[in-house]
Amino acid sequence: MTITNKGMIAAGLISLLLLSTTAARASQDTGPIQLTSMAEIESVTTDASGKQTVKRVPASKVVPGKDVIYTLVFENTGTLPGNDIVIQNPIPEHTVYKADTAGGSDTEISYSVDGGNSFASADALTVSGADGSTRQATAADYTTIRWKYIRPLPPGEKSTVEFRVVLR
Amino acid sequence: MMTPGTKSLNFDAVSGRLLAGLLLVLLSTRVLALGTPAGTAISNRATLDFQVSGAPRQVLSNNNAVTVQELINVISVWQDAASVVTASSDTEQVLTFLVSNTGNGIETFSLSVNNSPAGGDNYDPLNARIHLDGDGNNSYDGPGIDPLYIPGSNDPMLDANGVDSVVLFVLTDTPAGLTDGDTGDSALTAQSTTAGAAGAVPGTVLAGLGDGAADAVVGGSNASATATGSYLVANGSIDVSIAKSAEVLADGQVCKSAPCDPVPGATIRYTLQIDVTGSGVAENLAVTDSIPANTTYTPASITLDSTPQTDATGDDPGSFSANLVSVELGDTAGPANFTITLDVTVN
Repeated sequence: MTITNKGMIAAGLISLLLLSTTAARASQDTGPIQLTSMAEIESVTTDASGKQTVKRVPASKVVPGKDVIYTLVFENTGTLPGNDIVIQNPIPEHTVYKADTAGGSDTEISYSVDGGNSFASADALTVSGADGSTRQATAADYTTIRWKYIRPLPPGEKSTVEFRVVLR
Repeated sequence: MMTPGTKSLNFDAVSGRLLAGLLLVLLSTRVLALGTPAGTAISNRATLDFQVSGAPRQVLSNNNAVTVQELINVISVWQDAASVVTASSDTEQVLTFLVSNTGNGIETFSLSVNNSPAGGDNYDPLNARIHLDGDGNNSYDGPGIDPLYIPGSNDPMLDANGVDSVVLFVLTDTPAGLTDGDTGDSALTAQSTTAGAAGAVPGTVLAGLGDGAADAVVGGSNASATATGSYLVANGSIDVSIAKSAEVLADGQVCKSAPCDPVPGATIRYTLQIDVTGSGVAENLAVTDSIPANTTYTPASITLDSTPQTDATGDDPGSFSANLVSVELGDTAGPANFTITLDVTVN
């Protein structure tokens, strides 16, 4: 089995590396599948004619109320296919998940409202109120997102999933 | 018709001035600060479980660190429920304001007053000065308790995640020669003291000037907030009148249907209409009505503007004691009107 260092990740992912601190990378488990998280914000620029262009830029600093887009890139850097891939991402502290923003091709997406102990589809999730009554869970209740990748990931291939939060 | 009970109408003093301490201070408009504290690091780390050749493995992602910038936002709200009534001329007329830090950091604000804001008033108040609510009771208690604001010296520092607002009193003098109904406006402005913030376009980034050397970002308020309060001149003409009527109620027993006669056992309902006209304030307005001879007061039958009153003293405006119905209306600004009813039975 080949253990590939982060430094060998394709050029398209270089911007990700800029976001991750050396310390964070050092503590990261490495395996034949590499998982990289990147945070971006949308930057709106207006040209002379008034036309607005929305562009994603790496987020290192953000103000409350702003959306942060997290993209998780998973790449098989080994020699054998990866099977039964499941990605879990706790909603970052101080942020709220934005409804219907979790995405990713070839994935089944479910959510948790109990810190990742159990998962269900959005319409099947309920939470209990203080008075014991239950109600349909809303995006703000979600604590964790889970993506099940429904096919194997062959060596050399990569795919992405993403979601958005808003900073409280 | 009925023998009316004795009516008396008391108001201790009639004045064109409404004392600031009697004003309602509406704190319900307070807006809570929103936002993760500036400088907080937001981290994100995902996990990925998979199997290779039947062996389970787990990998972690890198740990993103996104730093929360300081958003500078402020709001200013005039707190008085209505125009502050003043007289021409008068001094130390008080407007009450609430300035709140609605950003996510600790911010210091400078304050200023404009006695000539744009808008349709009739006169400019004079000699504006600002006092800070030193004892936190929302009313102006004099410079010994609520200190004078001196720009650059005691600028209020508001922590969006702690004490995020301050009550301020704008004191002005009212010029002579004004007539009833004239209005004068004074505007209080609070501006962030962060260099380059006040008045800047929302979204302006002030590198390193936020809490903990994070960037500061100017919010939608342009780091500046202005609220306008107004005075209303009323030189003290106020009149209070009262009209009393009575009807015998059809109670289905003594009298089955109207019109009814005031025979023994019948219930008589007295209605008192109090009309406050003119401008200014009738201070400590109270209405008392003694129960007529040969009738008995029906317990708990007082209503004030259709609201039932108890017979006890102090819990609501109405009370009954020693064969006397009393309704305390307090300081009442004109124009206003009230309807009081009470029931008695004929002995």
